[in-house]
Amino acid sequence: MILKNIKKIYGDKVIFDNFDIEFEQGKITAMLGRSGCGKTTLLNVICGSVEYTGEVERPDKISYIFQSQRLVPNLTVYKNLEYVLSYIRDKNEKNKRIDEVLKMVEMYEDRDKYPSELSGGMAQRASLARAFVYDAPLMLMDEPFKGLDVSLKKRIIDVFKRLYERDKRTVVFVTHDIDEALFLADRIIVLEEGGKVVYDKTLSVDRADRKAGDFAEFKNEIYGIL
Amino acid sequence: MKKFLAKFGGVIYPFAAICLLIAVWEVFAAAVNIELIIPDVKTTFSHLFALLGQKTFYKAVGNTLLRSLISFALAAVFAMALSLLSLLDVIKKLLSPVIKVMRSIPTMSIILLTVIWLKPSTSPILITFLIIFPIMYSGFFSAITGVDKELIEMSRTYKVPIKNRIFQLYLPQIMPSALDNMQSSISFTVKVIISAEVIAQTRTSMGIMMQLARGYLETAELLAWTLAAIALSYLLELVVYGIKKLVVRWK
Repeated sequence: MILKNIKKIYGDKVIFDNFDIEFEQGKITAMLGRSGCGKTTLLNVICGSVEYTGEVERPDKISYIFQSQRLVPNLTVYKNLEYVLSYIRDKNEKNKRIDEVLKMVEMYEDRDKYPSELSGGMAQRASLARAFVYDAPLMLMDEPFKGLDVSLKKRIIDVFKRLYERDKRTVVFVTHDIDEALFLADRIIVLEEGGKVVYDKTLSVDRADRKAGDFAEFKNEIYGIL
Repeated sequence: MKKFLAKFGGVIYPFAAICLLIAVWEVFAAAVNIELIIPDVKTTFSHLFALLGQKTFYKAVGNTLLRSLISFALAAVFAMALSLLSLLDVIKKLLSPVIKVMRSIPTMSIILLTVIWLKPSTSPILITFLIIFPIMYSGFFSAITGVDKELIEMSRTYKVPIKNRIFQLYLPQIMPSALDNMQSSISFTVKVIISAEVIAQTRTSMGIMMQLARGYLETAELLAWTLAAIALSYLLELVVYGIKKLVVRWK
């Protein structure tokens, strides 16, 4: 996925000017940076939900895991997943796909619950399930694990990894958590205000082999920039 | 005590309020001591029970109820349709001054003009429609524009078809406040219909029966009809409340 010559202004503030970036297919890219540097804006430019000038080569379908789960409150967990699958005409195929993903996120037993009946972690898993049930080659995530306690975050990251390994989609995610980025991403980018990429590193160690304490050098470099 | 009130408060407080109102009524009736001005509770309820045994009572209530439901349904359908169309800026800008004028016209002007234009049996329907419609339109439009923008954005990102958005997102999201709006509008509808029936001299209606009771200086009977009107309004509100409980199960 390629972005060329992107310009985005909010009022008097220039978020991006003549900004170019390319994301490799099938890889996970983590974007870090100080608040207000344009990370979420970049995700919104990629999915086309904000006005901008420039070129974006984007796929026809994009999954998005938002900061707030954005589950439709009047639909059950099952129906929330079905809501995004209207392009699948075959009901059996639709049901099969939803059941499979719900089982992977361990929410099959909770499929008839409404969002108001879900805990924060369950709602986040439902949001993940919706993103993965939707057949999109590109997935955007905006601080998807924010606000979760340590053990719940680990569980949900493990769920994400299981789902990702199944499809190997192109993933671009925004986070403030360096450890999260080092644990999940193939590539780490740090953005600065004005839309400049001030750090861009590809991690060579396989995700499955990564351990806490790895990449101390990268961590120090990133902390130095932030 | 607190636990008891928490469990049974829903019944105790309304019952206590009714008892208090009845007590105040009795005190005033005793203080004035002129049945023509304020009959006491026992006299009023005797007249009410007498009414309940008469065919004309049920005919009058039935006709008033029918007119109320027709004007309410018309106002609700038009208000919902126009408020959805008002999502288009052009329609919203065209309708806005019309709604403002409709809200500002004195109720009595509407009543007096409509009885000139229409028959006594139908003028109350138009009168009530003209008064209720702008209130319902504003309520529905506010509910529609209040649909969570983040959910709308999510639907766009996932390319959910418009038809699915309307039936699975917009309408269910609008329903709770739309039904709240309807619950308060329905008792107002009954009030306006009865006023209109009095002015229009609509035969076999609650309005005209109240007018006749007043004409014969039967204050107790007039109050009995008033209690019947209150009961009718309350029942209709309960029906809308029941519909809301059925439709909005997810909250």
